Amino acid sequence: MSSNPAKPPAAFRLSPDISILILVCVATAYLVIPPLFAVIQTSLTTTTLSGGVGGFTLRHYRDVLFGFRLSAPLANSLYFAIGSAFLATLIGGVMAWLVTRTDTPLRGLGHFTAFASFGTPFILYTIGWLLLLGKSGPVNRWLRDFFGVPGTLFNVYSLPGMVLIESFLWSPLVFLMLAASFRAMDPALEEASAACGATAFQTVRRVSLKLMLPALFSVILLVFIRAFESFEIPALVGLPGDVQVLTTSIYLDAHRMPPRYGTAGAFSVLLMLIIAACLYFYSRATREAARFHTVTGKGYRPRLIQVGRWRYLTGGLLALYSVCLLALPFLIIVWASLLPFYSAPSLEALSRLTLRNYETVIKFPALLQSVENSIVLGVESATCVMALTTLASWVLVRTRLRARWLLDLLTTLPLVFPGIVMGLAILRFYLTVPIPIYSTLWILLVAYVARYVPYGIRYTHAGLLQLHRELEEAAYSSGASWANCFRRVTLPLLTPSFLGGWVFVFLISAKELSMSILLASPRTPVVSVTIFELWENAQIGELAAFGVLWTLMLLTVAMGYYLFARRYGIQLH
Amino acid sequence: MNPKWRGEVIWSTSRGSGAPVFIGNILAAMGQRAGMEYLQRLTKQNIAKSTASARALLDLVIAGEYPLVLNIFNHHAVISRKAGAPSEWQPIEPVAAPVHTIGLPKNSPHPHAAMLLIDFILSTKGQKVFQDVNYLPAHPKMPAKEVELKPGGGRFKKANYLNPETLVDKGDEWVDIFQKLFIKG
Repeated sequence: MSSNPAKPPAAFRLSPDISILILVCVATAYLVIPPLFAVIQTSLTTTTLSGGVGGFTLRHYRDVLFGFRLSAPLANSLYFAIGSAFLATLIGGVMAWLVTRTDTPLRGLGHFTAFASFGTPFILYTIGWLLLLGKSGPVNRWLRDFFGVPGTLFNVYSLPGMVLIESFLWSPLVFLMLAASFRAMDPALEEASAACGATAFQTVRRVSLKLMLPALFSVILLVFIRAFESFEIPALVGLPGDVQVLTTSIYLDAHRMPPRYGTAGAFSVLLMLIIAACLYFYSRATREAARFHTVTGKGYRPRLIQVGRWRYLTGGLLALYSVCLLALPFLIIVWASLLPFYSAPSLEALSRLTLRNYETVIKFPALLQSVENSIVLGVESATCVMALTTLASWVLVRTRLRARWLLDLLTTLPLVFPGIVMGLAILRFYLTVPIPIYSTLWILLVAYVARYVPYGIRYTHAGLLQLHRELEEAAYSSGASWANCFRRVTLPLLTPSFLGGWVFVFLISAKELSMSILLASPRTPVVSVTIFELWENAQIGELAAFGVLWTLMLLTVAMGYYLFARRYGIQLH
Repeated sequence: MNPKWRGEVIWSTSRGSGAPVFIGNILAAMGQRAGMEYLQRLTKQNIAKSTASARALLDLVIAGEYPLVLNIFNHHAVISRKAGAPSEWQPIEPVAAPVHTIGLPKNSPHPHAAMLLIDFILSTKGQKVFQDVNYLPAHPKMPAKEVELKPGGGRFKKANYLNPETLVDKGDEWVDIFQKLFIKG
C-alpha cells in the first residue's frame, strides 16, 4: 500500500490528509502563535509602569544569563527537575504497569487514586503534605517518638523534600499517561520471550521495558520541563529552607517596580530553546516508529502477567501508593477543615472540632458557581482538545506529508510556555483584537485548549503509533472512504487512548491555576482560583472544607467514568 | 539576636508587607549606618523566608511550625486569639504601618455607585464595620475595638506610615538589601 491511503477521485480535490493537515495547522496556529509572539516580544522589550510595551532591549537575556548568582540556582533547578522526573516516573510507571499488565489485587484502587489526586488543585495537596511532613506534623512526631531523639528528623524544607512532593504531584500524570500506552502493548512479543524460556523478570527487562521506552522518555521529558519551570513547590517548600531555584530567583528579583516581565520572558525563551533541543533528540529516537507498532490485526488485548505469590507485595505497593497519595493528605485536610484554627492532630484538639467552615462554604454562592464553571470548562476543553489532537496525530503518524514538522512543532510549542506567561499573552491578545470573549468562560476555554493540546496529542499519538496500519489498509482495500475508515476503524481502536486523554485533560483543566488566575473574572470564578484566593487570605479552614467537597465531587465523577467505561466495555485494567 | 531563635523565625518576602518593609522601617528608625549594622547582625539568625502572606505565616506559628514570625498585622493575632488560638503580638517601635488604598478604575461600569461605596467605606459608619470585626479603622477619630492595636493605645506610641510614594521610591532599595543580605546564592 502506498503512503497515501486514499487517492482523491478527482485531481482538483485536496486529499483528506492535506485538508486535515491544513485544518489542524490553522486551528493550532490560532491558539499557539499569539502567546508565542507575546513571549518573544516581552523578552525583547522593556515594560512600562502601566504594563505597556516600551523600547527594544537585550537586557533581559543578559540579566537571566549573567545577572543572577546563576550557578547555585541552576544546579538546584537541575537536581529538582531531574530528581522529580525520575522519581515521579518510577512511582507512576510501576503503578501503571502493575495496574494494566498484571493480575495484582487492588488494581481498581490505582486508577481511582490517580484520578482523584490528579484533579485536585496542587495547593490543597501541597498544604496537606506540608502539614503532614512539617516540623510539628505527625510524621516528624512519630519519627521522634520512634527513635527517641528530639528535633526535626526529616526536614521537608529541603531539596529532597521538594523532589518528594513534586514527584507525588506528578505521579498521577505519569500513571494516567503510561497506563494508556501499556494497555496497548503487543502480547505476542512478550509471549515469544516467554516461549524462548525467559523468566518473567527477563521478559520485563529485555522486552517490555524496551517497548515502553518512547512512552517513558516522553513522560520523563514532560515532568522534567514542568518541574524545571514550576514555581509553586519551590516557593512553598524551597524558600523557607533557603533553597533557591531559577524560578524563585526570578520571582524574588521581580519584587520591584515596574515588575520585570521581560526577565520571565527571556527565561521562557531560553527554556524553549533547551526543550526544543530535547524534543529534537526525542523525535530522532522515535523516528523508526514501526519498531513500536504493537496493535496489529491479530491478538490485540495484552495478556495479564500472573504475579502469583508476589501479589501481597504488589497489592501492598498499590495500597501504599493510595495511602500516600490520597488517604493521608485527604485526611489531614479533613482534619484542618474541622478546626477553627489549625493545630496538629491531638486528642486535646478534638474538643474544638466544628462544622462552621462547611457552613461558610455552602452559604457562599461564588464557591458553588466556581464548581459549576470548572466542570463545564473541563468537559468542553477535554472534548475540543481530543478532537483536535486525534486528527493531528493521524496526520503525524499516518501520512508522509512534508509539512508534518510544522504541525509537530505547533502542537508541541504550548508545552514550553510557563502558564503565567501564556495567560498574560492570551489576556493581552484578546484585549486588542475585536473578539469579545474577555471576562467570559470562552477565553478560559481557548486558553485551556491551547495549553493542553500537547498533552492530548501524547495520548492519541502513542495510541496511533501502536495501531498498525494494516487494519486501516484492510478497510481501504474493502472500499471504505477516509471518513468511513476513520469513524469505524481508527476511532474505535483508539477509544482507550482517546478516553484516557479526555479524562486527563478534564482533570488538568479542572485544576489549572496559572492562566486562570489572570483570565477568570469575578463573574466567571473557577475552583482553582477560588482555592488560591482562600489560600491568599489564609482561610485554611474554609479552604480545607471547600477542598474536601471538591475532592468528593471528583470522586463522584471518577465513579461515573468507571461505570461508563465498564458499561461500554472499555478496558480499564 | 538571641542565638536560641536561630532558624526558628520566619518572615515574608512580600514587597508590600514583608521583609523589605521591615528593613525599610529599621533603616528609617535607626538611621542608615546603625540600621545596616543591625541588619548585618540579623543575617546570622538564618530567618526562614516564605512567599505566603503575613496572615498565612501567623497560621504557621499557631500550628507550631515556627515559634516566631516577624512583621505581621497585629489585629490578625488578636482575631486568632479570640478564636482560641495560641497567638500574641509584640510591637517593635516605631511600628511599620502599610497604607491600604481604595480607588475607582477608569471606565468602570457603575462609577457613581462606586463613589457612593467609597464614601460609605470612609465614613465613620463604614469604618465601624472594620472596627466590629477587629480590623483597624483608618479614620483618625475611630479607635480600634481593642484600643491597644492602634498607636497611642498603650502598647506602642509611634507608627511609621509607609505611603505608596515611599514604597515605590524606596521599595527597590529595600528589596536589594533583602536580596543581598538574606538570600543565599
